[in-house]
Amino acid sequence: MPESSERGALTEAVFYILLSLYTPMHGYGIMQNVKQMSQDRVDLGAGTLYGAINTLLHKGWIEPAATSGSSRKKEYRITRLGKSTVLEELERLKELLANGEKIVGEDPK
Amino acid sequence: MKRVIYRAFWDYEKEEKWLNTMAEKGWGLVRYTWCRYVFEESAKGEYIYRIELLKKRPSHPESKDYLHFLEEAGITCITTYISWVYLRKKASEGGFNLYSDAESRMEHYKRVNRIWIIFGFIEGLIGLANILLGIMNGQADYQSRLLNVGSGLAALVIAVCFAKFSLSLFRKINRLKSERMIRE
Repeated sequence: MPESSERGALTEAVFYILLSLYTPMHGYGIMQNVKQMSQDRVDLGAGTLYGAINTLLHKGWIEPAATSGSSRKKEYRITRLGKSTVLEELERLKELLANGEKIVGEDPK
Repeated sequence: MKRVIYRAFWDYEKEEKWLNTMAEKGWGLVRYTWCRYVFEESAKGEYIYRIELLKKRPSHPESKDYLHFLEEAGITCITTYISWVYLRKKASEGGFNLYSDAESRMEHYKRVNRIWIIFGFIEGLIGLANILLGIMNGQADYQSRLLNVGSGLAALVIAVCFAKFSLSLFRKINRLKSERMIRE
């Protein structure tokens, strides 16, 4: 089935997972990284993360990375397709931010 | 020191709460078999427990892959029962929630609900069949017909209980659904 041209917003979890994987990382690393990036606000559940990783692998937005040396843990990294999705999402977020700031900024309260 | 407690739970979230209360008191679950909980003494509040229903049996490769993934995140599967897994994590390593968004939480509720629906349906059928048999079977003696109707009614009561659990899960799922309309 062809994907519709109208794309919805990425979930917060997916957006942060994709950002994390600009550097190859294993599951637990992603959880810690997302927590750190969001200053403890986003605490990914392991079950939620596992489901998201499998969906993203299936979509080809991320791929398994060659595991580094001694570590037996599975690592992942973002693909080109994943990166272009992140760029699109950034454009969308910029639009939201610009419109939000414009209208809220003009509001006299 | 070990401690064995026999208890039955219908609601896995209440069960989870109870396990965590036990853990806070210094009793960590180490084994579960049908209504039988084995606890071992641990430091007070050392562990946080979560219960999850897997999509497939724990021995299935998909489940093994998932449990391995959890292991890497410091989450240990300490005992399994059919497709239920009892997981724990050291409280010192931070909070422990399996699901952090409405979508995945809903999916798990639906998985649990499927069991209640199937069991409820089977019990309901058994109940109705027994009652009908008791009423219609004119050749059987009075006593065995009464027995049929009686056991049929008992099965129906169980079916109604299952329907009740299922309904409360449906409510939880619907609440998450309406929440998801406005926020992730």
